[in-house]
Amino acid sequence: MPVTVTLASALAKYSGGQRHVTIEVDGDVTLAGVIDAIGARYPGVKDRTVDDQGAIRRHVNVFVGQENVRFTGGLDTPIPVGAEVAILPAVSGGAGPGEERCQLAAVVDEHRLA
Amino acid sequence: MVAGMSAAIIAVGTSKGAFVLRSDERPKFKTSRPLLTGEEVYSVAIDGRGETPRLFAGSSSFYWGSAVRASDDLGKTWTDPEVGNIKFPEGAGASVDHIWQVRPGGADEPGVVYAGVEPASLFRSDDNGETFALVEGLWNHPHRPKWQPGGGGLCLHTILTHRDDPQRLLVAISAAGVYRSDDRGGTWRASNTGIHEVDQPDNFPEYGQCVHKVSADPENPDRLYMQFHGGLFRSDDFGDKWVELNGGVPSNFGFPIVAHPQRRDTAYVIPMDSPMERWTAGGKCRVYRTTDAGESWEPLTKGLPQQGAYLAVLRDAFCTDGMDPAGLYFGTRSGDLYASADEGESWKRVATNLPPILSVRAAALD
Repeated sequence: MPVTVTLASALAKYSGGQRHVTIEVDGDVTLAGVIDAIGARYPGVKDRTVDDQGAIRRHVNVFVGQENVRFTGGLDTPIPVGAEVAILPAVSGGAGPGEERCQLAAVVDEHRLA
Repeated sequence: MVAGMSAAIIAVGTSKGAFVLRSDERPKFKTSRPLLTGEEVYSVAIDGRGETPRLFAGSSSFYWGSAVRASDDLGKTWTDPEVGNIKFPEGAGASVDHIWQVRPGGADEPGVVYAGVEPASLFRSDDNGETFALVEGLWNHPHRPKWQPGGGGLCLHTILTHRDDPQRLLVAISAAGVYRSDDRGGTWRASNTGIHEVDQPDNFPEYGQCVHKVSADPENPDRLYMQFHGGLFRSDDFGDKWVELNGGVPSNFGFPIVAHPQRRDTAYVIPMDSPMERWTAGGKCRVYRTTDAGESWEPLTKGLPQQGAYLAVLRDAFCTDGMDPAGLYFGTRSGDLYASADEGESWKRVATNLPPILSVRAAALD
């Protein structure tokens, strides 16, 4: 079945300039299968989505439909027919709840390297 | 040694990309546009073994991972490996975070480039830095599960190759200490004898010392100088034993230490107040020089701010350019870059308002 994948703009240079790609996967597939299929066609996209051990990178968010896969089983998240997948950078900052996260990041940064 | 020349290049890694400065007449430099934007450049290196200098950057994206990038046109363009070129093998249970050190091998090892990363491990390239492989002898060392991170993380930040014996390697890890190999990285042993660690029950542990930086004497390759978390040390046997050097610095805390590129027994440090303050000692920006292998130290201040200067210079943000007379360069976390074209006698601020400077390397230009 076809799965449409939306990529962060930073990843488009590794997908021939496309921000939206359609890949063909088996009908009964999880996100891991989608990531592998992307990697077969666009190795640079997969490399920037998962780390050395194949886990989704800490500051990358992957969505299946509207759901962040961190809360739906990660790479084991099932891909329903017609699903859309998005690979995006995590938003690390901003107002409200994000502000606390931003401040924490600044504190961590302050203690690094020295 | 490059005598009688003054054209030089400085590679600067920052928390927000890199910059390259060029000079036809030190210490006047022109700063490039921002390079590798959006990436943290913990380490830079200049490999002068080829016909043209090759620049390296140990670069990390907050989102997309890390890579060793290279430039063969003095920073105008950089490689961008489609698939990361420095990775732990499957099953290692680790992923490369930051690349703290890129170090070209010796003159008798063409194509060899080493890299030190976080989590603490050593990688080696045999193809001029295009691809790297984990040095498994160090990764599998029985001490590794007990290594503890320093304030910056568990990082391998120093790599030295012995000038006369390519079999001998020495690395430093925060906060695991110094490790040495005599078989080109096949096997390793802790080399911290004599380095005290006041924050542990055993003041002289086999490993676990918070070593900040090590630099090798240019004439005597067995002589090493160390800036430790709490002291300056010297080894005269490539790390077998270390002796503390107590004289003449306002603080024994600091990060970088740089040996003179030609002159024996000569090295430079930038003392900082205690681990609590972490700024230039006494609010004065002073470089200290020894010419007697660390027995005594003298301040070098001309051209450096001496009032209200609460600066931090990180472990890889201080270097020489290998020329004669030696140029010296250091960058601060507040984004200023200072240069000396006369071996530290006088200094000039050659760039300001850069992002926090993490790494600095310089070399002569033909």
